[in-house]
Amino acid sequence: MKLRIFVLACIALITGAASAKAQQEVKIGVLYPLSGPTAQIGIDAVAAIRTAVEIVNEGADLPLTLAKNKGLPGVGGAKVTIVVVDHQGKPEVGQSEAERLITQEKVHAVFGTYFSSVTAASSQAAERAGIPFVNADSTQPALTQRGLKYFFRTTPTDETFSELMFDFLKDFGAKSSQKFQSVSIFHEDTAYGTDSAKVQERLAKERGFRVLEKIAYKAQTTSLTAEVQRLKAANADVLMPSSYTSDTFLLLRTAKDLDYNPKLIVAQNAGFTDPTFINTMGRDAEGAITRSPYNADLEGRIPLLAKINTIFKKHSNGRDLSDVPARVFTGFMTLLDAINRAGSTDPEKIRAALAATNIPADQLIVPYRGVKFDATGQNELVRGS
Amino acid sequence: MQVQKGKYCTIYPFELASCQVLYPNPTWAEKAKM
Repeated sequence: MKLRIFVLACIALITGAASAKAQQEVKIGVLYPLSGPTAQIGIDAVAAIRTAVEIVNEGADLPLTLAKNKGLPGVGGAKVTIVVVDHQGKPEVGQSEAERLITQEKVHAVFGTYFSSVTAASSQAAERAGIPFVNADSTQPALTQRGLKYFFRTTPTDETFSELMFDFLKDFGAKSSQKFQSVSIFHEDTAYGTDSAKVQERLAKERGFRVLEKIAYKAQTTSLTAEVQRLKAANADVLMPSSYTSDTFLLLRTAKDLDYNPKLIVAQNAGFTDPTFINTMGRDAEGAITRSPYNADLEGRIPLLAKINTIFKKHSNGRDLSDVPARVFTGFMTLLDAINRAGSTDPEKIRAALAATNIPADQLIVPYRGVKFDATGQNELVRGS
Repeated sequence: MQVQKGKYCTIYPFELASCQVLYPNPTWAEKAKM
């Protein structure tokens, strides 16, 4: 009898210890490109996540709800840990790594991935497992049109961004007495570029622009000579590229070689906001316009920016915040806010808390009007400026 | 935002702008002299 009581007591102790331990850690799987031509974007995104983790785990003198404590108070002061994985920009790697993070690392949520194509594949893996997936930086509109239950996106989509780009053309045209009447659409051929171009073609036609060219190219191409010759021949009023990093560099270098001088370049982010873009292209980057919800010169309007940037630089080897890491920080803090409100690492409770998210603009470092998800999981308070 | 003098500068919405829009985009020859 004594032995039985002793065994039961041991089991109770072990169970209690396990429960307490479970309260001590919230584990998030993080998927980004950490090798290849877009590695710097992934490295900076992870730095933004480490910034959020430091603020939440150690507390900070910031007017953020989650900076007031050490750990997540709603989950018994649990600390946040991350498991970072390089998906190499490959959807199949993203999918298999998401599965590994869920089944072997036992993460409570998955976050990432920058590339829309990788986000599509890896979020399907999370959906199958019933694990929440939060995305802060993939803009293909279709991602939130798949009927997924566990997928949430904080960033504006290319639909929102493209509308803003055409608003800009209209408003700048009126202000400067320029008449912009034609566009050439130029895009890489994965999910991001293809859907961006589709939206832009529709909007261009709706708003009375002539689409002189719509050119798709292979995402990993090493030559754009024939394509740029077509752009030069068309000579549209506005060139609208949707290009990742190495193809953005190749586009501009080829345009320079062929002396193609677009009067206005209005780009769909990505390569044109890569942290390496200005340093790599130097003077050849001058004049390029890109949509971006974040820029450092918004610091005067967003009081949090300077302090967050100071912490970010500790994790980024001295690099300043830029567009993608600013959006990633926002998305990751949104996920932690939901876990804190869920009061648990139970995926169903986290999912319910995400669905009930309502974060005001003064808690953000990007100029969204807040974070609140619609029935598809898309943040409905985005603004794409 | 637009790249001007080696930095990104917010140009739109106009009420948030820090810089005027540089238009037309400088030619390659003009950029070489910047």
